[in-house]
Amino acid sequence: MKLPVIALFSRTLRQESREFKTYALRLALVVTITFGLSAAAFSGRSAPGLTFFITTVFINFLFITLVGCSYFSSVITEEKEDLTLGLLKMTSLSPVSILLGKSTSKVIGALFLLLVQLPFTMFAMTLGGVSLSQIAASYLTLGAYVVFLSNLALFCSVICKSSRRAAYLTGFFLMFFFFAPTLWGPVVLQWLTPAPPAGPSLVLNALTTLFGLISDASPAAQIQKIMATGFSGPLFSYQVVSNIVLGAAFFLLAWRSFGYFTREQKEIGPGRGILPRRSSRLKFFGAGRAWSWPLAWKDFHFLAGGKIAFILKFPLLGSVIAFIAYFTSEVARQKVDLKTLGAITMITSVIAICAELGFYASRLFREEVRWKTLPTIMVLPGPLGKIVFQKIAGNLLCMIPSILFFIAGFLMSPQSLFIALREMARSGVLLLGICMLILFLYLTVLLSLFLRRGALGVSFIIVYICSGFFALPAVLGGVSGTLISFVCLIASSVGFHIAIRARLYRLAGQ
Amino acid sequence: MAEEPKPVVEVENLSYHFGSFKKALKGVTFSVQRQSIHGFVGPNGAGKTTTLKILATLLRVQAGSVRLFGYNISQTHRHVRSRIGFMPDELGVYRQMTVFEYLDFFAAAYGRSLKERDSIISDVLALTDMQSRKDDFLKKLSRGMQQRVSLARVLVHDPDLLLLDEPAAGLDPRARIELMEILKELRRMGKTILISSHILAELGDLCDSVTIIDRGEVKYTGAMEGLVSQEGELSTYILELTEEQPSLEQVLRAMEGVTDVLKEPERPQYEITFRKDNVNTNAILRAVIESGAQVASFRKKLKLLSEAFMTLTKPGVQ
Repeated sequence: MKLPVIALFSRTLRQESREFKTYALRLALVVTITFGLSAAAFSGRSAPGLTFFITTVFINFLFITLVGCSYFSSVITEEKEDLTLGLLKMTSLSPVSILLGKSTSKVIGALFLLLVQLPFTMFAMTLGGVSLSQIAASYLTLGAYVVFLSNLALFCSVICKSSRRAAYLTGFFLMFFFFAPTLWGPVVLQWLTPAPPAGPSLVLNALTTLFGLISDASPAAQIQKIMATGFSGPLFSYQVVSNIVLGAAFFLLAWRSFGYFTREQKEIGPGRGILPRRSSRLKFFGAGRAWSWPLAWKDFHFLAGGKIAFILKFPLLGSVIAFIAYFTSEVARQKVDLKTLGAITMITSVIAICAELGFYASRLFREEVRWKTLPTIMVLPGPLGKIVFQKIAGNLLCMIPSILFFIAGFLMSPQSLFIALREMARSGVLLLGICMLILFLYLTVLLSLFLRRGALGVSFIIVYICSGFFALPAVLGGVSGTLISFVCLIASSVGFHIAIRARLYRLAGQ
Repeated sequence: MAEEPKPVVEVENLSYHFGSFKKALKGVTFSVQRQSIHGFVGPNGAGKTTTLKILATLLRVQAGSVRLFGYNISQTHRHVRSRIGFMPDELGVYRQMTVFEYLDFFAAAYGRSLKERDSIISDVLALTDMQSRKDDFLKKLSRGMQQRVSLARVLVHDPDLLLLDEPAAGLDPRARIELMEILKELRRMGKTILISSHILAELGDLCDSVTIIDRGEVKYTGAMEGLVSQEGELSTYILELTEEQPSLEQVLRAMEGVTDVLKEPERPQYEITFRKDNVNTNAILRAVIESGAQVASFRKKLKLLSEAFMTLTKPGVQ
């Protein structure tokens, strides 16, 4: 008889091997690499192998970070959501068997994705500019990062109720991991640095060491080191060892906390967040009565967070802008003037708007599909377009704070916007950028109707990779090339539009 | 002579396939009369949900025709959707909403004004006996309660036709009975109801007519009485005597056309099966009386609903 842990491992592996998307993903990755390889070979640049290899490693890093957050963090939560974790616990499987059996297959799946690229990346050596030790070191770095991230996500998956929460928590930990030493570290250390006569305190020394260790453990920093000319570092660097050790530590944490966080099995439903009900004393912040655009009302309150989320965005975005302004003044060692503050505000709010658009696009229909409410809205009288339009309007309402910040930034520094727009319009970047954003949103919506999770990340990576192909005619062919790029982007968006419509009807009828 | 009213639902030769191979429906034909409850019964995978989803305009008609209120739904959804209320088998309620918010949302989605909504919601909550739970979160309600709220949701736009897909699935016996009572009340209010189930006996007391479907094919469609009465060459009657008559069984067996006689142990009761074209009930009754037996009752044996269902459908799932 098979060991219980092997049974669970092979079940998960078999399940994934039966899914079409597993192979589609591998094929897409290989095709992308092949295109990248061809582009590098014919680009005529010096060291095309290095250019190709840097791009490949960067895409891998991005892919692991963005998709891994949701992919790995659903290991235990998917069993919680399907109410099957209790059944697993009733078998002879021990907690460690469940954790190992469930997570190992996903880690192996991710490592396979890296492995499948190796023969192609070897071609980078023949193109020149990259050595075998750089390739080996890069893939070891990425492999160790997969081990770290998967176990971090496993821990989050154990302690969280739903896959979404687990993905957010993993993302939060990762942000701390990547940005603590570079962004928050210097600020915290500066605050703690005493006036000149006093020496550095114990806390300051400890924090300085800690930030240094975190910084060295970052795969991003390690990749930078590997890609430097004349790299001769060890294959098993501090980053590789520390990532594996951290991964093991998170696995231990997940194991130890498994019993406590999974002692009760509860049905998981869509969250209401902090939205008060009608009978509450805070009913002003509640959903109130449905509007004459009821789907806009529903999505504004129950998907985008409603009035409270709307209000909270002002201090949140404001503090991000203040932090960036402070950081800028520290780096430039001069006071930030109104013009610079305006530019920072506009850039930050544009990034926030794009992020919010992507986030809402990924949830626009996903939540309806997930909670099986799609048929009930698809039978409403009126065309599908009306339903979609109302839903988009509800989500756009929640973006008003970001839009207001953009307007405030514009009022502080109108010239910055005019100059930027003029430059972007002249080079065609503005038009292509807007078209690319539309394509990205369409693709996100479409993928969210196919994938249970990670649509936003996958869509971002696909658009990021494809942006080069779409922009190629514009780069090579001037105005007519821009037109070709524009037509290609619009045609793709129209294709996605039709596909979304068909998919919605199909899902509603399933 | 007054013209017979047109059926609300007319399905003719409806076929549907998923992909290239799996044929879910094969020439389904049935109709549902106005202000009636029509049961749509079949084992799991028979094609009930597919048919209901086509009627609800969620799946398109691939072959055949479907007319609701006289409109061909392949050509127009516009006149139909506002007149039907569809309750899918998966409840699919917004579980983060309160009962009131949920009903208010759907009433608004069907174009009801703020003023109208208050009275509509109050009415449907009263009908489903959910007034006291209107500020409760849907996720806190039991499945039976959620079914009631779903039914209330289906009624907020006062539809003429209700399409209910397995509404009693997962309910306890009490909740089932209460649901059936609500449906009877709705029929009294003039609604036409098409209700699917995989348990025929469940719909026995409720439905005026029934369609039995198995593996995408209609096995029976018509009145409930027709289903339980007997069709074919043989007929079975129950004869009950006031006291035992030992020679009667032999007399009956000797009659031409009688194929089987079953005697109830320790009771003066016989189950007589005969060929309709060889012998009739008068001849049998005459022979019984001539044998000196005292007849207490003589009646046609009706099939049990479950028996009829088992006869019409094949074992196994598709």
